[in-house]
Amino acid sequence: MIKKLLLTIGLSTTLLMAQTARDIMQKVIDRDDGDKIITNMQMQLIDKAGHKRVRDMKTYSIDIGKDEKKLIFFLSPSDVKNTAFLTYDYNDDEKDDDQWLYLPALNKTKRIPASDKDSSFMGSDFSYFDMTKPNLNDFNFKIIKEAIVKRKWGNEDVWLIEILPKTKAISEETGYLKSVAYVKKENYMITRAKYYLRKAKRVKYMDVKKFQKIDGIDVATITTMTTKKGKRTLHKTVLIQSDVKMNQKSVTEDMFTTRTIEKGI
Amino acid sequence: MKQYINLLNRYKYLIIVFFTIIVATLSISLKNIAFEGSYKIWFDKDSKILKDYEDFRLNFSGDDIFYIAFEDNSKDGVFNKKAINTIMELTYEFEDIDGVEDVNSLTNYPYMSDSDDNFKVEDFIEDFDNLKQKRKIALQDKLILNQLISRDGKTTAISVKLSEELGSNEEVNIYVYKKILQILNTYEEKTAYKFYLSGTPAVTASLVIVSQNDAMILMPLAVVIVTLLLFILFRSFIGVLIPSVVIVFTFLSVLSIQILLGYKLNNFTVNIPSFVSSIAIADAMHLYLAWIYYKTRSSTNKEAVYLAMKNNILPIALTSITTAIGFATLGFSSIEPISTLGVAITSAALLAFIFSITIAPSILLILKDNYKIKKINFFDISNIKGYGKFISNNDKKIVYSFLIVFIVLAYGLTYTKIDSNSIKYFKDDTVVRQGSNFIEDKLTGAMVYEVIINTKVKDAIKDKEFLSTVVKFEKELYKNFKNVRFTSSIKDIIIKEQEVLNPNSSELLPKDKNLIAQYILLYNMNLPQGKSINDKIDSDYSKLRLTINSNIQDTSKDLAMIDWINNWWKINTKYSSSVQGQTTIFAYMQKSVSDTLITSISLTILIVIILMLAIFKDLSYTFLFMFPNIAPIVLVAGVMGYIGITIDIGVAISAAVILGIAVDDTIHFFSKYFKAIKEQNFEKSIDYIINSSASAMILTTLILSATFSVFATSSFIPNINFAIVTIVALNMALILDLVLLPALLSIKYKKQNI
Repeated sequence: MIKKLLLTIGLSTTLLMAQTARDIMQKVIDRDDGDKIITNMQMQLIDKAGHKRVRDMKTYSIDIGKDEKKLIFFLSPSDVKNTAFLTYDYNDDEKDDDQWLYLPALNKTKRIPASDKDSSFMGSDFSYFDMTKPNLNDFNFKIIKEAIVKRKWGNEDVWLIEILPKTKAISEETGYLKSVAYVKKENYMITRAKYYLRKAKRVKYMDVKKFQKIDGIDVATITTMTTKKGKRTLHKTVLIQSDVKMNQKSVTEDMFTTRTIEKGI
Repeated sequence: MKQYINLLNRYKYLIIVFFTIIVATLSISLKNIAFEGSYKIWFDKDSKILKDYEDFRLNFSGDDIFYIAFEDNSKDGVFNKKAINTIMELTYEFEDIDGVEDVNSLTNYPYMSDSDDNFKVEDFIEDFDNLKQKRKIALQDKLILNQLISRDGKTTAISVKLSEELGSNEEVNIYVYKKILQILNTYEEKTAYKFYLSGTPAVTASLVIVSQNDAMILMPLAVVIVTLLLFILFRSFIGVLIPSVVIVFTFLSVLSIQILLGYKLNNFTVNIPSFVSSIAIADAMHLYLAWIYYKTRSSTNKEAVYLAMKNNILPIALTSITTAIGFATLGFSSIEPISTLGVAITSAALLAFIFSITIAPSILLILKDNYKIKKINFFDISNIKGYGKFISNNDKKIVYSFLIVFIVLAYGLTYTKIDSNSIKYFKDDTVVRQGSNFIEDKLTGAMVYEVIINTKVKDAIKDKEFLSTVVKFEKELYKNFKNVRFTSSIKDIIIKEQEVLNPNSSELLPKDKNLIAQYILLYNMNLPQGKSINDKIDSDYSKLRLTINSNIQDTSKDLAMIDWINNWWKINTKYSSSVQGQTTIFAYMQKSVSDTLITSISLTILIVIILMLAIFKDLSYTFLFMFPNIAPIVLVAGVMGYIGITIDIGVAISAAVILGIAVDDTIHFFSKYFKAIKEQNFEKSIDYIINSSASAMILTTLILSATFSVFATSSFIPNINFAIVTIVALNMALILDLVLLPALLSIKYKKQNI
């Protein structure tokens, strides 16, 4: 009798916990990350010898229903100035996400099929998959444990959530064997993550170095992504968002077309 | 001397125990024996060549790349399911090995395509569809033709790159090398393909493995052979013991001291034990055979020991000093393996001397007066008479015959080449040699050179002017050097993008620098995460890396090509170039080592001449002394010139060793001669030398020949060359000392006594 009761309680708790992991991730995805945003973005690419290359960009993003569209204009270095990038991130898994890159020197726009999410975003340590919202149905989630991440500005209570691709195909598409996300209990933002790549036993470490509240929205303004093999750092990217403006009236849906990247704002 | 012998006699047991304990204690450090094979040891720490290479490694991610190749002879070559699947699986397996950073193969080659304005960079072959079409594309793609796929589509290669930090560690090289071989063995069974392995890390790994084998197998074998020979000759325990004790004690002490000083064994220094043994044996043999000579003629054992020591201590001391001085010059080299060799042999000479005059006589003194000496199992020349007369009667004939032989053989010097090649250091049946031969035969050059072209201006590699210069350079390179099979740099990627994205343009390279920059951005953005172009350019976009695959060639040709490349950029452009890579530094290293050795040997000869001049105080005697020692080296070099063996590091070392050993015999000869000629005539003096010292000279040469012959079985060609050259030269030196030298002395004696 007691055994049955304990078993039932145990099972329900487990079921509750399994639900919770996915629920947590759902909340991460559903979190209000702002709309009609204009920000300056600086991307620092650092090689293993410590040499740094810097790219400055201006980005515009808009939510259309559950989809998200983004415009990224390169400001520097000068030989890529006015190169521009357009992405459509569809929530519906039936629809493939889309990207286009405009090359001003060629005066042509190239569509870059986004089926290969394993590719690197702008040549950085972030992959295209890292920069878009994943389809939760492709993965299994599990709470590994709860923990505390020590930060300069205080401690963060987090859940460690293991994210496993459901099929080999999905693993190949994203480039990951599995990932671990450190989700802040406070606001369902991922503050840290580990990505285990399929390729050559590499691991990527994502870390948010700075959060800011802008117009009531939590924004990760400085994020780093470091690619390592074993203890060795192969490459590192630092993404810095500055001058973040939310709810800009000037950001409208009809802006997010290939015409805009070709002609400019 | 009498007092010294009495002293030894009093404390003989103590002395034996004392030295045994010291050597045993030192030998404890032998458990720390270690091997090294890294390129770093061959350079002076401040060497610019080394610094430049390390800079290159840091900025361009190094050049530690294994090449694995195989052939599918079916009509579609490798473009069938089985071969493609093999490539895919191997790519995957290699990527998984610890220490491997990147794997490039036909299947994961980033293939660019643009259709309906859809630009893609993806793995060239991801499935088994359309292989016929893929074949057609591959055989026209300049980025992979003659590197990842052969012209006939039948041979393919996979390149496996080690990470830069680990690639210079030879243990990692060996680990990955063995792992790759393991995987290839499995696949050979699975697929029946034969796989071939090459590349500089494979060469490094093989160098270490070969030297380990030589140390572990050949050295003990040499010891066994020497012991056996000694026993066959002397047929007595003492006959084996005396020389063995001196050799082993010297060898153990020198090796232990080296290890205590922190030195590791490398391809060069792994031969130290055999050099040390060869130096130690001469002292012991002379002493022991002298003792036998006197024992059969005197009353007491103590008397025999006394006489043997008295008559040999001076020559033994002299030989030890000349050897020590000779090799001390090497000790000053800034190249670690060479200075190690110098220090080791100098200390060996001194230690062997000490052991020969302490332990050896002490052991002999233990024997009773009635100890029976067995006859030496060898022709007994201790009682020969009439040789002196023979020499005296035929001196001129002997000298003229030698002169003719000398001139004929020395002429071969005009054909002599000093040269070397790291892959050719391995015998044809070794993994790396087979691998390189196959790859060169079927696919591309096995030697890799990295040219770093410096535009000196930030972002300047994106200039069309610069990239066109690179195109021009390549054309002239191919024209002037038929060994060059393949070149690649980021320029080829840009040209490809232009082809794919701007097919209507007539320009090979876009005029617009911005377009080139955007091409690079586009390409970068489309690479799968983990892959990048960071190893092709520096972070300022001011330096471009151009990789050249060339056929195996001798170092002198390497250096000529490197010079040509650097000159071309200097004279024809405002840019500058620097040729890097392990092939390049090997080439510089061979040259600097050979130069060092030749300088050292010349210096040694000079020092010995001065020393002998001081001793003889007579120029003609000095000449007579030096001739039988230098002549063998010259003669052997001449013979090598005729038969086409190039002089490499092994041969250069051989010259040093020959000089050290051959000089000893001449010193013994002269010391006996000057002693005898005071009281006897020429003919009797010569007989005396033959009776008292010739056995030692002959037997030493015999034993050394046996010892070195073991190294002729090594898989490392410089060791084989060393063995052959040394054996031939030592025997020539012996003949010169026993035949020509007396003849020359006869002529001089007759002149003096007219």
